[in-house]
Amino acid sequence: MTTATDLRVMDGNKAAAMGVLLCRPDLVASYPISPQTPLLEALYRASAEGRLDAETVEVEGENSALSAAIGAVAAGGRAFTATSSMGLMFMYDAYLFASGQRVPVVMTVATREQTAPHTVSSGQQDIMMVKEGGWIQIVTESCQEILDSILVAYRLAEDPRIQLPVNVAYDGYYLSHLSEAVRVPEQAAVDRFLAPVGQGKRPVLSAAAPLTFGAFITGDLYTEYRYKHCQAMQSALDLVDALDGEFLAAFGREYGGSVETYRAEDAEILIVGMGSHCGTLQVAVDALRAQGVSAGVARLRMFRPFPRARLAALMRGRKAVGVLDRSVCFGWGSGHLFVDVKAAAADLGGAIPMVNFIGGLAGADLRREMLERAVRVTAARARGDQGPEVVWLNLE
Amino acid sequence: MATLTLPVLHDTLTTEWGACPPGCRACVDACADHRAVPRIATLDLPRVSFHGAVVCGQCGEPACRDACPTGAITREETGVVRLDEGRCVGCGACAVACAWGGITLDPQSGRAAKCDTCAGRPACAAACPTGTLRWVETSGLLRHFGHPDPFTKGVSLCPGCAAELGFRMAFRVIGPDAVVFAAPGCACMLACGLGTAATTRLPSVMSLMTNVPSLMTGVARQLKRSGARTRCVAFAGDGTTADVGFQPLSGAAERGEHIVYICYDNEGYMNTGVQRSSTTLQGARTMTTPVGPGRAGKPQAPKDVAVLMAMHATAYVATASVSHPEDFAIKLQRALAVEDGLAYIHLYAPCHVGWQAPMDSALEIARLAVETRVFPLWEARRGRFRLTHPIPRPRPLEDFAGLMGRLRHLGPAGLETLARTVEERYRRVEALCSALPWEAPGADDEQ
Repeated sequence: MTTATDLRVMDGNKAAAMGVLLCRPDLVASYPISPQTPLLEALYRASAEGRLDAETVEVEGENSALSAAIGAVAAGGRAFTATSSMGLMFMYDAYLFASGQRVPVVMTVATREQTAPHTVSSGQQDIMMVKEGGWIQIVTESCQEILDSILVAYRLAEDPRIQLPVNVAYDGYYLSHLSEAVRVPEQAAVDRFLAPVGQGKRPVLSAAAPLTFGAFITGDLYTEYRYKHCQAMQSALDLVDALDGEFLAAFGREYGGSVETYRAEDAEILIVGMGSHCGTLQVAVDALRAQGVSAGVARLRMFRPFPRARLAALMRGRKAVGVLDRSVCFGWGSGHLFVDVKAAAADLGGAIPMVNFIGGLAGADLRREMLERAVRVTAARARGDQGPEVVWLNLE
Repeated sequence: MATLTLPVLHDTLTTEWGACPPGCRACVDACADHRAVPRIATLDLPRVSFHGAVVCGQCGEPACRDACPTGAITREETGVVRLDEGRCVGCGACAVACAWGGITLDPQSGRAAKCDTCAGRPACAAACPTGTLRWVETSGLLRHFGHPDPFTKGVSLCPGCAAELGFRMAFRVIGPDAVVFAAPGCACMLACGLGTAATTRLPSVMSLMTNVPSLMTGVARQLKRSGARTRCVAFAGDGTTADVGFQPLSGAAERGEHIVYICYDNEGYMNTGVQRSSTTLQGARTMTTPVGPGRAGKPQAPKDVAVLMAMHATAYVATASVSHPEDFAIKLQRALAVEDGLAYIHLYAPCHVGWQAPMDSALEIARLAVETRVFPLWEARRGRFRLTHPIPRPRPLEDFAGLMGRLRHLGPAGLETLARTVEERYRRVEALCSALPWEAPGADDEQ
């Protein structure tokens, strides 16, 4: 079933703002940082124009932005904040607090490279730096998907079985500042979609029923916290797949849950990636298919929890797997995604030839021909070619 | 919540014998102006260098009353031990029973005579030129602390902890309609407890050191949005407040968040084993400002966080001390009455462990800090100041320094440096009070 929608042209930041408005937050806290700033400006404009009935807090730093959001959620509200790059690093204190305390806050990250060296350009290093922070991380590919994922993020975060904070990441500039046609759902449909979760469905701070938020604990009890946190995260994998079907019924769009594939069913080689360049990857695969290379794409939509089982199933029987990273994992000399994909491949027993492509750091171009070359290199590995495990596409 | 029974306090006449000069009979004369027979006497014992005034102490369990065969002596609800002269038969049993000389037999009338406090306005105290005799109005002291104690049974802090006392005082003023915020430090044990055992009966949040006011912002805004009048009150240490958590505090003050933030200042990171913070007193020995041939404690003057907070034109800022509970309570009530911004109270709470002083010394140290000008008591509304407890004649700094081991290494030069810092700080506050004077009261200003 599709509902009536309003087709509009907007960039990723506006799409994110639209998603937030539709979720009716009680509090929006913000600190400016490129490239997410226009998103927050859009929310403030909405507040000034009476389209957003929420507390707005212009804090003095990112750690406070997330903290204010945590506070509102702890008191029973729905809260939103957004950041990028060093802002995400500066809120790491509160970031870990939010997940460990099981605070269902939603935060978008317009992904950006890390300092140093200084840059404000696009990259995925920032979300990789917090991948162990205990949050759910959704990584999107289009402006439409940004908007839609924010709706899903609140359903996930506030689900009583999950109760965890959720990041919705989108590539800085490539999506944050890219204008696309976006279908804006009707408010009533969004309200219905979010109805199963929301206020009053979890313990909150109240003088009438005092509770301790942030207890000091040790040993066994701490271990129990961690165990339940792990269980909740893993259960988000099934839930995000289930919500994909529910979202399709409500809004007429689907994304494959935790993993979206393109021409993967019969592909001999599989390229795994995350984010907006997966679109370019599809074009590259089309071109290579025309030249007789049997390739497909697996785009991870969920990076944490890692869709290990679905990805392993997708890799089963492939002759080679290429992994495209827009970040680096210091200490492994590869990309972060590559490390995780290799770990998932180990579940299959046999060794699949795997190759890692690092590119697009700090806004460096990932042109179609570069990705076509990545597909060709992967195909060559399938044929037994030897070569470096990590290929730096922008340094060739 | 547990029910509360407040102890009954009475106004009382106090005598401080040490200040009573030999030969002075001002009190006796003043009493004689009002009574046929003075109810107060002076006692001169030059061989033991004693001179003092002798007057009825209005005992809680008066021996005179118990000895009286006719029931002529009763103890009233106001605490005054009253003699009904009409029922007195002049037997003198009361005078024999009183070990203090507080009741005597009047040879002229043949009846007993004793002080009746001149109905709460004793002429002797008014006439006393030295302050030896004072009428202390303590009957209303506890009215500020009418709420139940906030704690459950068992608080795992050091015996004699002034911060714990401050917390108790604060929440007996604030009451149960509050969420308490603490950060890692001693007070986290006060606010949140350990494991599954909560310490307070209040809803509590154990924040991070870096985000107390920001978390409060979110909670306070959401509570208000949901229609609750519940107040958000922080009780955080000086490390959190003055150092790592100062930025969010400054931000919350600038935004005018509707929260009450109490910093209990024990001048260091005491929960981690006594390291210096930016409020540590100059010259003080801590584990990170040790004393040796090359060093002599903390070289820097303390950061005056309360003044910095007042410079945000914060709705209400005050300093307070655990040694002056009524002053603290009144300031806390002002803080709670703020409707349109942040209220900040900097509460002096000596740590006898970290300051190397006896377990029972925190209150004495705190009182001396006020009386030596080390810790001035003042308040400011929107950046307009007034001293609430001026110290025109400060006691010598040595009286304060001598109470604690952390300053014991200071020689004359070190003490002089500290004295200069202390004096500068006090004069800075004085200057603020005269340059930016407290603006006249609204209806809530009873003083």
